[in-house]
Amino acid sequence: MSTAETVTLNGALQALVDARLDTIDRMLLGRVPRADRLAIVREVESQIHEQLVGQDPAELDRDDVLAILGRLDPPEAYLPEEDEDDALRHSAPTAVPGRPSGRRNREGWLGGVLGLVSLALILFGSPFAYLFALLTESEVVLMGGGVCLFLMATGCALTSLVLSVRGRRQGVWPVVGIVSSALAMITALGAMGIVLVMALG
Amino acid sequence: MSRWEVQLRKGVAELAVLAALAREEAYGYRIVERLQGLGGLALSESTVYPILTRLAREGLLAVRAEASPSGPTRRYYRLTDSGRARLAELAGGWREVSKSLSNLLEGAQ
Repeated sequence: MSTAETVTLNGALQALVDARLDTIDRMLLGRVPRADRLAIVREVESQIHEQLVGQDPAELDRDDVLAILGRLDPPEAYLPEEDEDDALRHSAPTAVPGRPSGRRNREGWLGGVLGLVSLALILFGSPFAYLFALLTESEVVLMGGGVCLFLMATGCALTSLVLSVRGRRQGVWPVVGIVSSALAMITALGAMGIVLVMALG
Repeated sequence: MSRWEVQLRKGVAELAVLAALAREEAYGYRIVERLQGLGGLALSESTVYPILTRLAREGLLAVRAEASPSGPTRRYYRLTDSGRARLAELAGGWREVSKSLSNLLEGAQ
């Protein structure tokens, strides 16, 4: 029976280990059953401590711990095989189970792009619609243009929101989609309100 | 290592893990050390630990926890009756494939 002493790391060194374990945990989140994920992270933690055995805790430094962490497989290597290639290509953090991760990446990306399109429609389309209405001196053009723009922007924004939520946790694009579609809808409602007030006023 | 070799090793990984536990129980890192030491397999922890947890969840391995002298609790794995049956099944399949491929290669040389 081994009589090796338990290795207790100081705060900074433990933080290095915890950072690696947390990364593996995030990689596996949603991709494997929870019990499996926790067990795998526990095993990796146990392995790290096994490799520290025999070293004087007082003399352990950052380089020692980094050397051990450097010998471990990278976090993406723990992914189930069908997700590993996607993670390496897209650096995607997590995925929703039950759907192909490639499709989830596309949804998130498309959501982000549509969100930006909806925001651009409102921000750049509104002044154009207003100027056109001024030139034609027509309330009908103002109302019609405003309604068309509102419908287009809102349609884009809602689609973006749905796609972004479905593709959430896949990089930055879903976040861009959610934020920009929300801004677009708020701006569209505001612009529509102004148009109505001007038309009725 | 070529992609083919990687795929080949992944294909036999479950068999290797079960075979590593055929004679006695072992904890996770010890299994990894044993399999990494076999040059023809060279299975690393990112392959072994997910297999161990999955086999345990499927009832092919029994797990017991024991305090470790080095830190976190060690999880000791051993084959259940289902695990032994699975090992026998995979080993039989491997022998067939190996024999057929060997015959093919002998004929090709």
